[in-house]
Amino acid sequence: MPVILQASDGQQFTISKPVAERSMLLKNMLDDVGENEQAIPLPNVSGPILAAVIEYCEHHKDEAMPAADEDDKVFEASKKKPDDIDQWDADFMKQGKGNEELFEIILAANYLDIKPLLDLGCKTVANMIKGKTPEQIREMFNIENDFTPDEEEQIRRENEWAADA
Amino acid sequence: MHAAPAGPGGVSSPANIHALPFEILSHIASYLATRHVVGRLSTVSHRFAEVARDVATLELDASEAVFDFGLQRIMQQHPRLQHLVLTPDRNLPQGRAAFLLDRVAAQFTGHPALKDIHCATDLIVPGAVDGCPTLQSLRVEPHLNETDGSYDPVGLVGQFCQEKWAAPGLRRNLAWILHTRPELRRVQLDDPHLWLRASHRRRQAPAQVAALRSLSLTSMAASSLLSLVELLQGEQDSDASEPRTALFPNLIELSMEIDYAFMPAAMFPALSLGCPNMASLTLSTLEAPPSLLPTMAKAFVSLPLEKLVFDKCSLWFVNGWSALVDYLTTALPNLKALEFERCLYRELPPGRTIPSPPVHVVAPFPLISLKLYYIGDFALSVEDVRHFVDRFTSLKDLRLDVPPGTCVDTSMHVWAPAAADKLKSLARLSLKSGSVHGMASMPCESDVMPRFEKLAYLSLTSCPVFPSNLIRCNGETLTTLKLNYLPAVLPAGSHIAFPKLKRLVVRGISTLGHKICLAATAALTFGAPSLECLTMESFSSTTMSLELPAHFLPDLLVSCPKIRSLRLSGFRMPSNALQLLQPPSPSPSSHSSSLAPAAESENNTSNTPWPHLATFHVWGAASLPIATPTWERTHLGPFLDSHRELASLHLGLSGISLLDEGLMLPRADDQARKRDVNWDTKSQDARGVYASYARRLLKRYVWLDDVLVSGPVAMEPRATGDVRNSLA
Repeated sequence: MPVILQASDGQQFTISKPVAERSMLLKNMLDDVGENEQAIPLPNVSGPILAAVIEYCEHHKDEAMPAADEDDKVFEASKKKPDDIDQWDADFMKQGKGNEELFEIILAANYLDIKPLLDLGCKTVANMIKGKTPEQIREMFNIENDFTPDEEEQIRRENEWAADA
Repeated sequence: MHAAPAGPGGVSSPANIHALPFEILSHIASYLATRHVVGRLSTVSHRFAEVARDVATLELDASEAVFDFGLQRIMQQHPRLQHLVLTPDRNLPQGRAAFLLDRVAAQFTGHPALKDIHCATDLIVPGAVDGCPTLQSLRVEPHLNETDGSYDPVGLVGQFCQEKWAAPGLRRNLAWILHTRPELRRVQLDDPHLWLRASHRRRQAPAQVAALRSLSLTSMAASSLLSLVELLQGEQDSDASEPRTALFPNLIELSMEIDYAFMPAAMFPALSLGCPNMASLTLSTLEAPPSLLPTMAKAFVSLPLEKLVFDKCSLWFVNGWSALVDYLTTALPNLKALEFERCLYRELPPGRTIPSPPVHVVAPFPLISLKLYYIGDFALSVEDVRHFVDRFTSLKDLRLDVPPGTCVDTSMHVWAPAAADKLKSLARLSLKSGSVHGMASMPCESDVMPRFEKLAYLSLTSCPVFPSNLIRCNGETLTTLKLNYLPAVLPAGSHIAFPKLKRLVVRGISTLGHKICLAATAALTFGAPSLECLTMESFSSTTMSLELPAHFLPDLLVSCPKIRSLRLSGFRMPSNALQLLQPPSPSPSSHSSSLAPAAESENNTSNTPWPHLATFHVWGAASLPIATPTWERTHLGPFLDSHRELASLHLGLSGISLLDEGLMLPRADDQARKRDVNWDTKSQDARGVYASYARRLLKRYVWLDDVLVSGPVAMEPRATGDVRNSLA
């Protein structure tokens, strides 16, 4: 039974159930409502972004879902590493995606509750940030330096121990 | 990855990252090292300062800067912190690093939200126990220097914490810590103490610790073993009609390093009483008396024990290793993983017997993982290997020390066809053999082609012939291949396809035959287009480096374009190695890399060799030339600038000559030249120079997380002459 999704711009996508169920939001919805021929409206996601999200879910549809065990969070490795990105995933995030598209994919993954895609998007941004000075980060993401010189000096002093650590 | 798309007009406005919700910004920051988030991201904007304030994890080196600023002040700046990892500063001499670690840890007085502390000094314990109301996990690793429980190098007691901590051993008193903090879920302690006197234990030890899931104790002394037994047994005089309460009813994982102390006979009954849900037990450095295994088998019958690990233990039994394995798998009905790491087998004298196990598990055995690595003379035979294959058909993971001939002609017939036929789930196979002495005839490769349908990991050590058939017929499914100390004689023109291979490790490439070995490695990489990690170590990596042929890197770049981790140990790189890894376009390289516009390097990503390189280790004596300003400007700098995903960089230099930075090695005087000056990392002065250079690289190339630099203690006069020429 296929599932029909409707993006914010009215564009419709027909996908198979296993693909849709990569999204926890859709999975719960399908579990609650049961099979239905009506399109599911996704007012927060535009057509092109939804197409990209579906491409990702298609590729990963056969993989086991990551177990979400809040209880054992304390046992997790304390620091996550950004460099264990699968090659397909790395290519997927690269293909002609500007910052705007990247951020929208992250927001869509967050809204649709697709944790691996959210993680992938955040890792990608983390890798972009990693090799940059504060000035370069501002430039890259169009961030205005909203510190007064005094504030900037103060925050620099407070965090100096980490810069050389 | 794309920087802001600069349109033809050049004024396209990049999306603003501030539009992302705060949780997502925090999520992004969780992938970055502490020094990136707190040290740099915090100074970008108010919003990012807020993100840096809200981090959940801090991983700190106990550096001079951290000590000067104060660990407690750092704690106060991060109110939502959950994990604290405090490690010694690697770029300091060990004594200084240990000293600083103690002093920084002693500054800690607590934190309102912290859940997990991981550190290698017990000076963190007072703050953790007294000042962390939400703590769930306390891990104290063994100290860099050996210390005991009354160790107080910094006048800790009375300065930062309460008087009570003056009691000897209190910081390592497991009973008292659990009595005070019964909600802890995971505890690791080195040299743990438990009250020696029973009277203390009655007053100041817990009757039950329901939260504890995982307990790891290292360097246990005989007295703490006895105390632990008594604690597990509970009150002797309690009413016998009532069921006794288990001390650790929910403990799943227990690890004990016994420190070659005498294991009390009552330990195993006490464990089954006190830890009724234990699923995993690791025993390290245990000198086991002959009665140990029968006692264990009897006591553990009702436990849900799935994993049993013996690490560096010596064990008495009869009729050899396979009888021992049979005994344990027959006696412990839930056992899924049985591991022996560097264990010594001792055969009981004739006449002694072992009582038969209390229950009899029958085939099919649920064992999924069997690892048997031993030391000493008592070896496994090829028949033992066959026995395991026949008996444990559910195995997914089989790692064995085997006789040297296991993978040669006649022996392969004994076990390999049966293994391929029966072990349908086998995903990981590791066979190690020792010296080849005592083989009657010249070994030949077997024509057996054991195809394991699911084999993803294959590791072979010291096989007397190159087992190309075993490798060839499993090439299709392998993702990891490790070859250690093998004679590398590939049949001429052999090409093996490894469509899925991601990791290739070749260790022990010999001095004499290294060109053949390297050619064999190159032949293996030729069929592995997906390769991401390549590790190659020469046999004598620290004393003498082998020359890497000039075509090696260019060939590798073509056959394995996806490499992200390259670790070479003990090879002298061709002088143009780092230039080969730079983007081909002649972009003007700038020395002050961190100021170079980011977009410039990003645009080159497409034609940068190995653009996703994350680990680059070129380690060993004189693997790279002397670091000079010119070398850094034309070789190292442009390479690093074009690889912004690089996190880990290890360099084995021939020396350092950076006069304008004040980094200069002493020239080898006559005396020094008489000694071996090639590779001596013990010399403090030289280490200081290399460590300073490592710190400078970390600072200059801000995307690096881990930099190690090493080299000779003094440069040879000829080498210093070269430097002068290059400076002129």
